[in-house]
Amino acid sequence: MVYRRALLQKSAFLLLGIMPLAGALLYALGYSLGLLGALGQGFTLRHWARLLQDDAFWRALLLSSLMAVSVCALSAFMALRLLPRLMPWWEKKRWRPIFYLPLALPPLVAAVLSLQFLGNSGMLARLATALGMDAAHFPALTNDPAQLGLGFTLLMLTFPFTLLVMLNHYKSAQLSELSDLAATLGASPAQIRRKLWAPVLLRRAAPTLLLSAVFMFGAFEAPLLLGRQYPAMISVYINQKFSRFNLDDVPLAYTATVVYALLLLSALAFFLHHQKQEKS
Amino acid sequence: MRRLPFIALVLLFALPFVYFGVAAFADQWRFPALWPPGWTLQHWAALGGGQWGQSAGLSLSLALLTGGIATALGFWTAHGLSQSKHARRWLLWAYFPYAFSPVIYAHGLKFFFNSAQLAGQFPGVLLGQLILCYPFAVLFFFSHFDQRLREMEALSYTLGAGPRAVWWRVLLPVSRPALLLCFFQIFLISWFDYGLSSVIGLGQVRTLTVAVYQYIMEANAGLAAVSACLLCLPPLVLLWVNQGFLQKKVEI
Repeated sequence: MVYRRALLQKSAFLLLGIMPLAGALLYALGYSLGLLGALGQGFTLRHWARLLQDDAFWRALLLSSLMAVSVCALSAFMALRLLPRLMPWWEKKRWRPIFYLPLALPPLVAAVLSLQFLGNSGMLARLATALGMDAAHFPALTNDPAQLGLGFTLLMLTFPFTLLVMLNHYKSAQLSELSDLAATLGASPAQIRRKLWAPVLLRRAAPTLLLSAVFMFGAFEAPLLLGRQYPAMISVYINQKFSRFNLDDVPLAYTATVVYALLLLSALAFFLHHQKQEKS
Repeated sequence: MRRLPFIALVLLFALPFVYFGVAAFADQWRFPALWPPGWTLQHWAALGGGQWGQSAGLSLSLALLTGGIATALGFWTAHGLSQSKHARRWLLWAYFPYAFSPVIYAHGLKFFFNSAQLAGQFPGVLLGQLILCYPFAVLFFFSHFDQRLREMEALSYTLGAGPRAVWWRVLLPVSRPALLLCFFQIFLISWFDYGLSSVIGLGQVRTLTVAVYQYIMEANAGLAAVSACLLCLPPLVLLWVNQGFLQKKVEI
């Protein structure tokens, strides 16, 4: 009875957890090698060669990586800087829901909000006009070449979560008591922040920050609404290739999916290795 | 001065909800007006229309079904996997869909959904979301089945309880808070999902997120604001009930 149940439990995981993923990846790999799909005419590396020569693909990878790293680094920096000023409010239970409020915001709605605020006829442009600025001179902040609107939106999606993680770790690491001790021993507030809080909190929050970076790397809704078509972030790039009428783009989309999966696998392997080392 | 960072944070965090709350009732709020010139209920009146009710109903049914099924299956599976010698190897697979971009995963799966004629249909989107959320539930409950719970289960068997009694009278009651937490977090993953629903649903399964995107593409800010308000409503209710429902915690 127990063995039968254990077998059923593993089968359920195999069927719903492993098989769809393995099926999707194997199909993508087969398609990318010309072995599967409507366009498959036998083994070929043509699609891989085309993808590796595609400037848009490399730019998408670069943009996604830069965006993921810079957004996570900036949100960690902001959380560390604001922590001492916000801690007294976090400790008062009645104010705590405020800190959780952004978690109730779906990414798509956050992207729509940025569009309504940063667009050419958005709230910021209206404010600038009310202050006497010529609307024609208001800088483009959505779908802009520097991807500022997109970066800002991703930062606003990541920062509240990073702040919550840091606030929780601050308490569990007993940093309040350690800070008092450091101050008694003559450390200045800046030294306490730099030499005590930053190393302890960044080390503890590292797995969460890495996972956040992985999520940001594959972000879709905000780049779709606020980013540019070229260069696009990797999710949007792959979605474009899948959705175009040009059938010759479909193998490229599957090949890019395989590359994305390999990159994700490397990041996860690094994350799990780090977790294992921490535990040991 | 000491309050300034907190006040700025409150303004920043509350801004989306205040803005969409105002925009949903605003009449003819066009550039360069900073404040709506008038108020209307016409965007909300559209809620009575068939399409609206259908979108809200679809999103709610999807989120409830995905939350319920994935939580139950994840709990049951994690119970077995946590006792396996090679559990950690199995779990590596659960991390992958959790971190995979839903839209890319959906494109990878689309061929199978097309072959099974599930694309563009409610059961197809439900299955797609289950495939996405079930590994999350397994990861969630894997750390829940710790040494203490396993010893409690063993003790129940030693005291003469049968498997059914152990599940219904020990494991499920003890795990109630974790089950609720997992259910609501999966409910929100499903409720917030746009990428997978749009790809597997082919735009024909018009959930609220798909509706918001369509309204934005049609430059219909009023209806988009109403949809955004509706999308934010369940998570805000959950926040009011328990903040923990919103913060995902998955450990290995």
